[in-house]
Amino acid sequence: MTGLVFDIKEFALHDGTGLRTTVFLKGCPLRCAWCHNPEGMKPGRELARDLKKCRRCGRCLSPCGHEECRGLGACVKICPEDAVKAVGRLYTPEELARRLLRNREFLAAGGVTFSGGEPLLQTGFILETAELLPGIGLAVETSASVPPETFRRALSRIGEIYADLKLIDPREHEKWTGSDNRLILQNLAWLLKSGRKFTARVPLIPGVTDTPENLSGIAAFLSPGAGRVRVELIPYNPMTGAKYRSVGREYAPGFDEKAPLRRDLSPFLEAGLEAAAY
Amino acid sequence: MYQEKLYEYYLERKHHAFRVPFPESRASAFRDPAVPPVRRMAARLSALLSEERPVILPGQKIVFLRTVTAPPSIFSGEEWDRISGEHFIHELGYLSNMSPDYASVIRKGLLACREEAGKRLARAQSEGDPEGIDFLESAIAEIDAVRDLASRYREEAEKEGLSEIARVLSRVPDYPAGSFYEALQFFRILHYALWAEGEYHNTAGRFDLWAWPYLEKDLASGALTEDAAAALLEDFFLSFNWDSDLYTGVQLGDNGQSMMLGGVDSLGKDVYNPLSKMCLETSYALKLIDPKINLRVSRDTPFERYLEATRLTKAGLGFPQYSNDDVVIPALEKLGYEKEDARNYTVAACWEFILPGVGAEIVNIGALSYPKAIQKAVYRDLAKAPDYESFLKCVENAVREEAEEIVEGVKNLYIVPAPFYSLLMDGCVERARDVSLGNKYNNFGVHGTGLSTAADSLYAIRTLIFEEGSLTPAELIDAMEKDFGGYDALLHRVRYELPKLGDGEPGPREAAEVLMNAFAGALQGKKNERGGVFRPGTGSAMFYLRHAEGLDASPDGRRRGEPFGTNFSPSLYAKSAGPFSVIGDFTALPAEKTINGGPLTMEFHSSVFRTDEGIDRVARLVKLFVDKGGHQLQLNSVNRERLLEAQEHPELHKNLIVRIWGWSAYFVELDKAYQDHLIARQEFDE
Repeated sequence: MTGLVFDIKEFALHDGTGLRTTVFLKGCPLRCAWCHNPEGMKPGRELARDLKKCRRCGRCLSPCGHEECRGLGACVKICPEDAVKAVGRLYTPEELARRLLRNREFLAAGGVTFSGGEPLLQTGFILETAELLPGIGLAVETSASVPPETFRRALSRIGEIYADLKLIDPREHEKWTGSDNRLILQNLAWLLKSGRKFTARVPLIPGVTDTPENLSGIAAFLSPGAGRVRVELIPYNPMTGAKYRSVGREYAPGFDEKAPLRRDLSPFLEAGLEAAAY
Repeated sequence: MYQEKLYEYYLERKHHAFRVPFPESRASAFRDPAVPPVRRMAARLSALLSEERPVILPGQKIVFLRTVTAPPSIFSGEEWDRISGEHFIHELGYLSNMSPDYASVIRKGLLACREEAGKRLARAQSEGDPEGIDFLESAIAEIDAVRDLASRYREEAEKEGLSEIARVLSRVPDYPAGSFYEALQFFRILHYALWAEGEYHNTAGRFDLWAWPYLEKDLASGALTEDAAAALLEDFFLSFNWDSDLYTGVQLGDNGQSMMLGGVDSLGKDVYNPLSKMCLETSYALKLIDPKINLRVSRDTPFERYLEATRLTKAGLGFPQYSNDDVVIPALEKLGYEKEDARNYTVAACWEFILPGVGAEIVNIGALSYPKAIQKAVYRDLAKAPDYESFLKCVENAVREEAEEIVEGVKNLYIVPAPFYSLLMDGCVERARDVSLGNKYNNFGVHGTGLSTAADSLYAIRTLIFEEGSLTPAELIDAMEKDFGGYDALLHRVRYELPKLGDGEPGPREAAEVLMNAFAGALQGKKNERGGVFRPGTGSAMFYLRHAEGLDASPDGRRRGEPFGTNFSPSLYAKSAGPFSVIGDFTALPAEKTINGGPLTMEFHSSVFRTDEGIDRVARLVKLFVDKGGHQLQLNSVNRERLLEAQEHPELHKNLIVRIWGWSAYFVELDKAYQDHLIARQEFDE
């Protein structure tokens, strides 16, 4: 078995308690208009070209015959500026665990977080890796847009949960993420009922998710979790567009990126939820 | 902040208005080549201090300001050419980079020092010791020159109705300090006199060790409130900054005013006290480049202390720099320092470990370039080496040759006498000899530059040439000479694909270990002409640029002209696996064998420190570094976008402070090469 990883970040500060390493798994069922990890969407290896570094020398376009470059459309082992890279690397659970356990003493004061993309698309890989990380706290950052049995299987082994809830209205959800929120609401309802603590994250997108209706709707949905559920409002990252452009992708999110954000915690606080805006 | 007005006065540099040039006409008084240099140094200091006029700034509590710029050298150009032709001259020739024992003088008073020197002078006269007489008469003349300026300051204070200042100056520097205020003022006078005499990199030493008892007494008796003490401390910290642009250094800001906090005393007792914490807070409040804060820690350091220190890191000054007692003290003992002395270590201008009062050492007398040794071994021996082990022997030989060249080059040392400095060093008056001639410890330190570049190079050679056989020695040499022109695939492989030191892979680490052991072995047993040893180190100083300049491209993919990483850190362009792996690698290396000093340096984006949570995580990271046996750590909070912006609009960023290789400075005052190096360093973000 292998997992497809597109980044490993040591000393991740926002992905759980203590000293943590976050593993970013590649592939996501959603296509959020504001996604700031576009390299995490596709469930396969792909080419990334850093146009800021690229000198247009064309070296990467000559046929190379490297196994690693097959299907990428360019050679990733020649660029003098390292501007042409493959995104996504296959790991076996053993390889990933070995890589993580190199920092065992650090992780003992925190743990490992699986993020993405949507990490739970690779739940089998996560669970096998987890078996090799005894004594290390695990966390997950998930869109919750996965089949319920997958969701439950994964969370049976993972202590800290960060689950997104972007839009409460199914049609709006479909409009902005390419998919309705049926699975998400189903999974979160189960989680609320389970009595477990978790953190719900709402990306604040101007005019899209920060509307009074959406925030109140989310608060009402989460209110059975009062006392257990923490809500974090994560403001839109205005650098997102630059990131797309630097890898030669278009970015037309369809909302006004510069519109002021409503960081309104009151619906959550009124529902008895712990809440913070960043 | 308590001294806000005075602080603003400083930020606007209003005190520069009082400055006048030293009158050249007075130089003849100290340039007579027939007079011994030690007497001329005293004459020069006396001339300078007599030219000084007392200026007390609005609201200032700790007085003494330089209003006269530096006088010319005691040597004519011709005389200095002759001296430097006959001798090894370290840097500028003046005494530098040591730690005076301020506390003993502050406890004694200058009158008592004068009396001691007078008694010893009588003996020197009766014994017929002309050198001793020259030294002691010079020291006494300087004591009088300093006392004279102090008494003129007292008169000025009286005239202005500043009775508190006048009262303090009626006690110090003549008599022992009796209060925290008096102790601070006394220190300021001594420190001022050292700079005025012409020494440089005049460190502040273990301030919280000796000054706390004064503060503790004043707080207990009610003579001082905590707020009043904090205000005094701010004033005191400002005193390091008033004149620092007049001081000598390699670059503006590199003035060596290091202050050490915490650690154990000579008996092994923990020193950290409320004053230590106040110093961290005052440094955070003022955000000035001086004094440069260091903190001694150990496995026993409570976590809370790391939190207090990390809050200061947030300020972006590069303070505090951490030194680990668990590693440093035993390693110094191995070098021959007595336990009581080793326990009392502080740092020199940057990070070299030095001993207050007893050490007359030159901790930066040379610098060994690891990558140069690698290049030499590659060009000379690689083609002939049948296997990796044989090649390692060649590398070790090349390191030894480099080290021996440094050792051989340091002969017949001359240091300009420093009679006033000598008053603050143990045993100089007793021996009737100037400290420029040596003291209890006379060791020389040698930096080790470009460790990561060299280790990564060695690992690349091992992998490609000896393990894979995918590269021949001739091809590697050709690629290095041609700066990888025509070797695109090779460049990509070694530069971007192979693991580097800091990635947590064993290969580069093993190579680094070999290199450090070779350096330590090469200096082992070598004695200098003063009976001291040579101490290998992990610092780079400015050699991360200079040593890289004359070198071809290196086997790790460093292109010609690209600098090395700073100090004991991953190479500049190696994008390492992250902070855990970097700390893991660098704490696994045998730094205890190369203990001259030189920290692992890591840069974190300023946003990491934004929340208490971020502070907590960084503090945990530091604690793990120490618990894992790291010897020295430098953490910087930086913001690359802001640095780039400051390069473009320096006028908008005049007070932006950054850490260079072992000192902190105003970014816009740095040479561009140093600015660029900072910008190129890997920055760990959230």
